[in-house]
Amino acid sequence: MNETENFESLRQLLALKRHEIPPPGYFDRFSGNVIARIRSGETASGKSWFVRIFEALEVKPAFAGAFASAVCLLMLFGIVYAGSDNSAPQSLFQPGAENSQLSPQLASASPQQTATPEIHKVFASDPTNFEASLQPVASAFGGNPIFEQVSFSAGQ
Amino acid sequence: MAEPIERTERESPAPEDESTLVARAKRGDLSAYDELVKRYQERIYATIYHMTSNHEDANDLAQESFVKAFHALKSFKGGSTFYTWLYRIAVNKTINFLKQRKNRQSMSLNDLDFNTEHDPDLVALISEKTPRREAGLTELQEKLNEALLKLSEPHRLVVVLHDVQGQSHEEIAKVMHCNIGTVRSRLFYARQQLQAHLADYLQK
Repeated sequence: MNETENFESLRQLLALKRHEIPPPGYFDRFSGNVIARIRSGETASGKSWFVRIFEALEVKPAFAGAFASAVCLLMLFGIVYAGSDNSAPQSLFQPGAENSQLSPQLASASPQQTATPEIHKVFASDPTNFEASLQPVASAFGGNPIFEQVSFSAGQ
Repeated sequence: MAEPIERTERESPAPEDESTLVARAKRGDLSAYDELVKRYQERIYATIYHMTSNHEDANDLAQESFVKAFHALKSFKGGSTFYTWLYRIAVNKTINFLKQRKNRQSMSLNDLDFNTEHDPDLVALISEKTPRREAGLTELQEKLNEALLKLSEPHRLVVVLHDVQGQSHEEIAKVMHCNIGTVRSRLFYARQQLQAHLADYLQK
């Protein structure tokens, strides 16, 4: 028994592969299918980009790790950015240059003018004074420049 | 006088030169590309099928290879034949696919044709000398495909191209971008591996 004889036997067995044929008529349709795919611009066997991304992640763990890190960084950036964004509206309620853009009159007024009397004093003097009770409540942070004081009394 | 014209109409048109078809296809002529697909579809499909042992995968990969080749035609400079260039696309696509599929291999084998039992090679193989001579052709087919799938992709490719499709060492070296010595050594090693896997089905 030598190697040549063995390989000859193997070669005979491999001849079996040449007899494996696709279903009848398969090659009659093949070129038509290829041309149809070219016409439709399809290049990835109908798989969506979403499926292709997940297939890529499945094959390359390093890519999956990088993708996960990128998503985490994006989320972290989003959280930090959202946190810094919340501080911006607070500056609107602080007296100063920013407030003058909203209302020059209010900006020029002193905190005493803009602040209304404390609510407990109003109710202490006359609990039935609804006109007074309709007035805006003073802000605990020293006046609210957005609200202007309006009186709804019938005499005016 | 009308006779020559009539004869010309009856004759089938001479097959167009490959380079002419490629030039037309490069300009976007799909009928020219359709002709190229028809010329090579069987060989491309067969190579991919023998590499994957799966008809559905082979169908998808063969179609995708032709579609990809069409879109890449502008980059084809004619350094090799169109067929070799196309073969490289199909082989690379198949090897990439097999790397992805490594852990989920499933066979979907084509049927054997009617001439199988009369093939002289197979008649010689299934003889009294074969230890498992009771094995049917379908069982042999299954065992052979299983053994092929156990080889690495480069070794399987060399066996498929040389022993199944009958390509020369030189042609295989061009397709695989390696030298002929590498092709020979891979072929020898792959045959040894197959021989070990299929010992029960080979004559001694």
